Amino acid sequence: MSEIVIASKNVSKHFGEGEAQVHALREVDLDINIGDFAAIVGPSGSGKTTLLNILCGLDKVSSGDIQVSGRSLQDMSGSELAKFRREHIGLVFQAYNLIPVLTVMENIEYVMLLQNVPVAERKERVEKFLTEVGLEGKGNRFPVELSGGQQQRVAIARAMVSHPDIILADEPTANLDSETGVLLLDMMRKFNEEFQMTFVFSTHDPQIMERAKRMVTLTDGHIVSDEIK
Amino acid sequence: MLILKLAFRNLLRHKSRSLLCGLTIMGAFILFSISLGFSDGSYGSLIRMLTDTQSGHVQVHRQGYLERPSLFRHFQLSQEIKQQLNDHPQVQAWTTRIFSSALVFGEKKSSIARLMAVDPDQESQVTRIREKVKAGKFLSDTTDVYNPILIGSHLQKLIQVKVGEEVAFIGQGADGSVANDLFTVVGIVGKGSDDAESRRVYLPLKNAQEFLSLGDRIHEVTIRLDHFNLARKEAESLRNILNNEALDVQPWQVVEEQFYKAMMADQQGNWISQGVIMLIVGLVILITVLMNAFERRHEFGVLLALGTPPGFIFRSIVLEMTLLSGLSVLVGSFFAYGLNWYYSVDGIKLETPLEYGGVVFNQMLSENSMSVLLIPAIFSICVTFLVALYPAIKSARAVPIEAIREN
Repeated sequence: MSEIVIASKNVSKHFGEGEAQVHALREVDLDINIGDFAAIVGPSGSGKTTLLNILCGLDKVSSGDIQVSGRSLQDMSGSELAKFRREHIGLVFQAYNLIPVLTVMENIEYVMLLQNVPVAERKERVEKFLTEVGLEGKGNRFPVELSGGQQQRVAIARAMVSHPDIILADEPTANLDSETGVLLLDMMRKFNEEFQMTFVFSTHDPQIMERAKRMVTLTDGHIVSDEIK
Repeated sequence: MLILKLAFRNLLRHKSRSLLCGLTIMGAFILFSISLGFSDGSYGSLIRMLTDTQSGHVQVHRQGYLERPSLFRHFQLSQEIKQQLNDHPQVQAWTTRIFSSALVFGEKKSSIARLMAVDPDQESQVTRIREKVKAGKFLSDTTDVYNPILIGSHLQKLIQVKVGEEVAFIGQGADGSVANDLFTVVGIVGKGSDDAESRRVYLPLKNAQEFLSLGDRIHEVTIRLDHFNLARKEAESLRNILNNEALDVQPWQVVEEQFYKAMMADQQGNWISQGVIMLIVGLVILITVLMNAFERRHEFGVLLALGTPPGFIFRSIVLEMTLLSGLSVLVGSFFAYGLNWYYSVDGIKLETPLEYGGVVFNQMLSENSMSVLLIPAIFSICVTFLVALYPAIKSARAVPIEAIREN
């Protein structure tokens, strides 16, 4: 039996109050296992991004419980959650969200700097990931000097380089052309295969669905199917 | 290092905004420094003028004389005290004085006059009395004149006497007798305005002691130190050295209490106006930092999402602004030093001389000291630090998901 890295039990999330209340998630039970390459799919407004935000502690549940790497996120303070994300979770955003004043290398190195990883190890890992994502020689460039695809590669390298328990990616290919999207997906799939890295995507992209080993479908905040390919 | 790198690069990221904010801090710093320089310089000039022309730096009287001056509150200056004054390393020079009042009669008119008896040779080493002589000669420059006096220009006009003419004094002697004698005007002092000096008569100490039946007794010892700033400390030191309960040793701040209090009140007024300048600058900085922080809210959300500790974001913003103000102050220091130096050498000439606390001065000089740079520097950096706190706290406490949504 696979080891569970994320366990969500009866998770509900609503926004607003009274008649204006919107139920984004309704009693969601979802376990993510180590090595999963899972896509959370569903129409717009089905709760995909909300679920992802809750899984990484960026958003709080209205009811239910989320355990990531054996720790419940509900009672953690802002600082504790930041520390938890730093140590256990890698994030990839749709809009890349690189730090504009840092170079490619510094962006990739950023989380490790916060983790106080020794300088030699940091440099070694950064070099390795720069090669892995195909950005050798571009380490000293600033994000503004890179294409969208290259920026997303940096974002993926940043998420993976600190060896988190899980990588959560919100629509990572939405702003990319299909060719670049495929390249990045294949790269992530390769990391998943080679290093047993756990990936959870929220997506509309058929290319991700095609490559996902597991597909969780959300509709109106309910999980309507959970298919392992 | 990371935090410093982020702070520096963020400053360079919005160059024109950082430049504008930096120039505002620098401008305020320079303004503050020059204003403080002129303030210190003017007060310094005033104090120098007061102490050089009148009070000296420290005075010794018989107890109670300062509160209620009286002909009868005199004391004898023993050899021991003279030796102690001569031996004191900070005492540059000292002189003795007698004060009294008398009716002064010219050939046609008379008036009441304040007499100030000085030791002509020693007085010249303590105050600039010799420079005050506008006509005639100084007391010690006349040898064959009977009872020479210098007369204030206002008094001279009142009783209508000229240099070389005789005047009669009638006063009270220290032994209760009526004192009267003839004196010869050898010089005129003062500018003719109706100030205390122009109503005064200066006469040699020996003559006054004889006229007032004081023997070898005096009313005051006036002491000149290396610098007026030493007055309080050296007054205390002399008090301990003289160790005489009958004598009252006081610095010029106590002797010229009214002048000193007026000066301190004026100085406080200056501090308020300088505080207002810094308050306005603080508001400009606050607006800049707030604008900067709100613009980067999305970025702070991402940093928090990546696991950046909130404290790191707080420190980064505060450091960024402190760096900016530090750099502005550093650059501004060169300008401030240059300007203060220029105005300390060649001050601003006043077309109409100003009178302050009885002291007239016709030039405003700046003072180029460490404090006129250091105080505004500390003040500028502290104001920047304080105004950066609010945006820094607000940014550090941002809810990551809400901040990320604000793109």
